[in-house]
Parts: sequence; C-alpha cells; structure tokens
Amino acid sequence: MLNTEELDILLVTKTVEEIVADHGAELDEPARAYLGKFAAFEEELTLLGEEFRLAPAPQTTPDPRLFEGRKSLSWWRRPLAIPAWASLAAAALCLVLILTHPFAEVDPKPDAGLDLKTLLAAQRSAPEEPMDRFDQQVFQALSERAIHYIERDTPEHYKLALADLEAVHRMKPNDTRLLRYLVLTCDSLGLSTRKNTYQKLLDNASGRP
Amino acid sequence: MQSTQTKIERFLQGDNSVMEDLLSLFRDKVWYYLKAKIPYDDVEDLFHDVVIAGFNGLPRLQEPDKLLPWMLAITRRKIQEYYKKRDVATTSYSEEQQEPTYHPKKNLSQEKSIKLNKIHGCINQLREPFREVAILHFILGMPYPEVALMMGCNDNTAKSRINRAKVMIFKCSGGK
Repeated sequence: MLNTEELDILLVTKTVEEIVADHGAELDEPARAYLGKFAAFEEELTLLGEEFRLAPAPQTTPDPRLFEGRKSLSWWRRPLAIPAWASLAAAALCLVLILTHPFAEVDPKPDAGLDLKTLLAAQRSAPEEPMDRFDQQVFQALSERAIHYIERDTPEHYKLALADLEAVHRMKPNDTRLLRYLVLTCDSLGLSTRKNTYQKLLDNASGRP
Repeated sequence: MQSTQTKIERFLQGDNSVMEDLLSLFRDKVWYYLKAKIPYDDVEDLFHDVVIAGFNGLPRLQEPDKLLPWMLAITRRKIQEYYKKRDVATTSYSEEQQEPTYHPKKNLSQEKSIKLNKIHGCINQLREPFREVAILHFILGMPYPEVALMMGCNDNTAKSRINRAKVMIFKCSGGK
C-alpha cells in the first residue's frame, strides 16, 4: 500500500486521476482519503486564482507628459526606428550647414587691400591726432569687443576680432597694444602675410628697426 | 494587427495612441502579481510606479516579444524596493505587515475565505523558485510554457516545479 510520502512523490508527476488509474490496487482507504483531500485542495487553489483575477487592474493610462523625453532617449539606440527620409533630410541639412558655415570659409586673398606702404604712411601722418569724445567711445567699445572675441578663442571669434581691431587701428595707427592684438589675431587665423605687415607696423611704432 | 515591436517603436517616436495597447499586454498580469505579493492597500501605488518605470525603460528593452517577462522583472524589483523601504521605515518587524492580505470577491463562506487566505499565505511562505512559479501559475493563471519562459527553464522543469509547489502548499495549508 502507498503511504502519504509516496503519494506526495507521485503527485509531482501525476494527477490524482492518473494515480487512481495506475495505482488503484495499492491505495487503501487512508490513501484514497488523502487523494480526495488533495483533489479538494486543488479546487480551492483554482478558486483562489479565479478570485485574484476577478478584479482587473484599474483601466487608467499614465499621463503621456511623464514620457516627454522618450524621443531623445530612443534615437541614438534605435536609429532604424527613424524613417529613412528623415535620416536623409537630416544628413542633407547637416551638409548644407557645414558648407555654409563661416568656419569652412576659405579666404582666397586674406591680405587683399592691406598695403604696407599706405599703412606706414598713414601711421606716420597721424601719429598724435587727438580723438574727440565720440571717437574715443567708439574706440573703447570696439577694442573691448575685440578683446572679448579673442578671449572666446575660436576661429570664428578671431575673425570678428580682426574686423574690430582693424577698424580701431585706423583710428589709432600707432597704438602698439592694438598692433600686438592684430599680430596675435592674424597669427591665430593663419594669415601670415597680414601678420608680418602688422608686425612691421608694430616694430615701426615701437621704434624698433 | 501591429506587432509589439511596432507599437513600442511608435511609442518611442512620440505616438501616445499606442500606450493603451501596450498597457493591455501586461496590465492585468502585473496587477495580479502585485496583489499576490504586497498588501492590497499599496498595490495601486506600486502598480503606477511599475507602469511608469516600464514605459520609461522601453528604449532599453532588447526583445520586444518579451515585454511581459520584462515588465514582471521590473515589478519584482519594485516589490523588493518596497519591502526594503518598509523594513527601514518600520522600527519593529511584524509578520502581519509582511503578509499580503487576501480580499475575497465572490460570495464565499467565512470558512472558505479563511481557507483561501491560508493557502495564499502558504504560497508566500514557499521558498524560491517555488513561490514564483506558484504565483505565476496559480494566481496569474499562466500555462506551463509561459511560466517556463518567465523562469528561463524548459517546460518540463516548470511543470515539475509547479507540481512540487502545489504539494508544498497542500502540506502547509493543512494536508497531512
């Protein structure tokens, strides 16, 4: 006859019906009662599951604003999720931006219009000309802006600084501080000819041969 | 009929209309799972935490077809965090506090309700992995293959664990 331990082992692999069918001859009254109790328990277990599944989850949907950042999260991980036309449009836009960006500009004649003789003549003819109040203010503003640009230390800002420095240089051709900034700026932009020109003007202004 | 992957991709691209469809793929299972494991009063709060964590984590889901197991993994982690916080927050441990309470829905006799409550308590007292398979199969109603998928084992192992869990619960709940 099968005892409860043996029945427990059988219950792992067989249903109650299968045990009764396969081992009917080995089941005495207590074993049959045990199996009956187990069958009743199985029903209770099923009922418990049904009870849990009776009340469904609340049918609310979270506020979509909670997930506003999802696009930026997903793009780099799921590049294939972006439509092909959008990828192509973005690539074309990037190309246009790169080509039209001032960084990519190549100045074909960086030193055009800068004639050393003319500059030296201007420097000599107006070395000590006093500036009126307005000119002084313009000079001050442009100089400060140029220095501000230089401090940003990017090619684009050096270009902007050069424009300002050249403007104030025309107002004070002998200002050695300005000339030093002009040399520095031209050097940073790789404008060697123009740098040499301003270097000579600087040497001249500071009395060096 | 859109695949789960398409729905997830649409959601990630900003389409909110698929949220309901995605939710329906795991909502009830996550809800029952939480009900089986934590006190009823806290189920709704944690359910919303799980749903929000799930949607936020969708970009990291590698296999869209495994959305449900993935959501249940998030749910398990949230339950662990929940109990960890409670253990820290409560000065004295109480067995009663740790026990999820069972709320009968059908018109059952008091005796039957007590019996079912005891069975539920026994499920929660099982050691792993038997507790997990018992909840997935008996409470969530998952068939063997789904349980196997969730547990990362083959169908026969899942079936064997479920049956062993059943015998353990039977013993615990008064079967001699």
